[in-house]
Amino acid sequence: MRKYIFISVFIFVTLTSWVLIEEVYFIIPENWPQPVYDFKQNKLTKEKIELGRILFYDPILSKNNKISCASCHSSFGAFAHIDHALSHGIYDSIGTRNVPSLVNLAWQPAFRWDGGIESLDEFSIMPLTHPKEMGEQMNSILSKLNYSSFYKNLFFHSFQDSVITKEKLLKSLSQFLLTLLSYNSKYDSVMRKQASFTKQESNGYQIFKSNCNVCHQEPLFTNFSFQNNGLPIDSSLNDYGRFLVTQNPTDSFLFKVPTLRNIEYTFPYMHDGRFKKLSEIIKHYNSGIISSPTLSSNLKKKISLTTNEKIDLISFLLTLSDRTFVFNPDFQFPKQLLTN
Amino acid sequence: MNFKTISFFLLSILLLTSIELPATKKNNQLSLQQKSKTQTISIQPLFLKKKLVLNDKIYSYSNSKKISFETIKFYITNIRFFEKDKMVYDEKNSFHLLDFDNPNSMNIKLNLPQSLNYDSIQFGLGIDSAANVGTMTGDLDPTKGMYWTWKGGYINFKLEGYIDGVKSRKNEFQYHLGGYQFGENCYQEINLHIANKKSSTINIGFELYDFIQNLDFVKQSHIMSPGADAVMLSSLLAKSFKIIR
Repeated sequence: MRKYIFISVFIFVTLTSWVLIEEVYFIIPENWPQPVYDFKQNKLTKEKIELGRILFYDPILSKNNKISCASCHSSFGAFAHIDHALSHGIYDSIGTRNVPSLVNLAWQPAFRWDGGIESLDEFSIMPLTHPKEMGEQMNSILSKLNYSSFYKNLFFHSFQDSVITKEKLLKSLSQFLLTLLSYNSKYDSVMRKQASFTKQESNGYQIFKSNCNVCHQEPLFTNFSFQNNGLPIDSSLNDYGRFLVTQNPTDSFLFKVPTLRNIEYTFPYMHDGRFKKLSEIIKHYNSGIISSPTLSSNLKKKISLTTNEKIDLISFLLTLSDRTFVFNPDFQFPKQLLTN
Repeated sequence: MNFKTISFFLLSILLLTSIELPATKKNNQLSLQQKSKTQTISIQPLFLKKKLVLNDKIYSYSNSKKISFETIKFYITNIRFFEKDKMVYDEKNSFHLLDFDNPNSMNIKLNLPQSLNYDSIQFGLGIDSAANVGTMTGDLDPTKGMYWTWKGGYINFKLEGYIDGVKSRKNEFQYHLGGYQFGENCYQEINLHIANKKSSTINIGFELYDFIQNLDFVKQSHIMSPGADAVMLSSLLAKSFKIIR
């Protein structure tokens, strides 16, 4: 009898740990809202996530086989492009907008600065095919992948079918992107009561809550809305933002509110990368806002911070840096590509 | 091999590695007793022999074109001193990120033995191939904005600014020189003779006016990936480093 009890317990423990292992690919951090991504349509598996990572780092997806998604979305820059005001794509071409950070994407209802794409699974098509990004045609990408025994093998292991289709390609990329979770900054530790803010950070947090939190809402540090934050128009770009998607004049110069998580690593800032330093952003909100018919109603009340308050606010913003995220080996270049 | 043999073997290795060789200990004690001096290596970008000013200063360039500089960031690495062609000092973990926007970073301070004599200095401009695949700490932290990807490696040198007559947005130019793989290696070794051996500061300048003569701003206002152009420009850039007073 004992023997059977032991065997049953062993099987139960093994099965439970197997189920748990299956679930750790994605977690919803404590006190976070439910994600909007429909995981039932693209159930995460170890093989597909790994395949997505390999594709993300492989320049085979670009027209000249030299640019990968990771060329602009560097893990060390919280998957933004450090030090590049505007996107920098194939043949050193320069785009018209700053590369956004890829983080906590399962919560994001719309993609791009203007929200022109509403599904993560469709999101990758634009950078893959845009002439100033990776410049390749979808058919050509699929031909290259279907010609590669390396990829046919990987797709077979992931989908039990070696024929590579657009849907499988995009869903694999989504799988990897969905795992890019950042929730281990000092701010998160403080919220979990595992750490505490310094006095300066704590002052900064209060200033943040009084002035910034409506748009940069915790815990994702964005409410995903589109706002005109009063930037002077850059005549070299004349970017109308959300208007280009909706054609509604009230959407002129509105851009998606970006997350502030890992802001230390994602410089330069704004949709056109015009600010290099955090102090320049705060200076803008303090004294640089240009009034216009579409200016965010949240910015109509003047923000007046003293020099010390500005420093405190920056010190709070730096608590949003998550080094476990930017140095996570699971997000970095996959060694399998070296042997391919 | 049975369990006993393996245990004996492992124990022997443990014992051997824990014994400190007397000679090493003696050397360490000696180096601790040696008096040291601070040697500063100050590196400055120049324009027509004068110290360059970033951002607001607008310079006149060929045919009265206006040029200004916004970013100058680069790596100085593998600093060594030589006396009569014999290496007398080799800095460990020698990686220095110099950012002209941060004046302190332009002065590299070294603690050298006071009795050290040297007549030349050698250093690398950029990150060599070995360090490109090594530990990413300190000034090599990739979040500092000087790292491309595993394939491109580190950016050795960044020069950004604005010049009249180019078609890019706001007339900007951006030259990011780097690359470490075969055929793309931009790392440059620079050797300079030091005449004034007693000075506590070695002043090194690199003449940007000379360097930008090599750039065709209209044809190519951006270089932002490894390749033949980056290799060629890196080599020309290295030649503009000189000892100055």
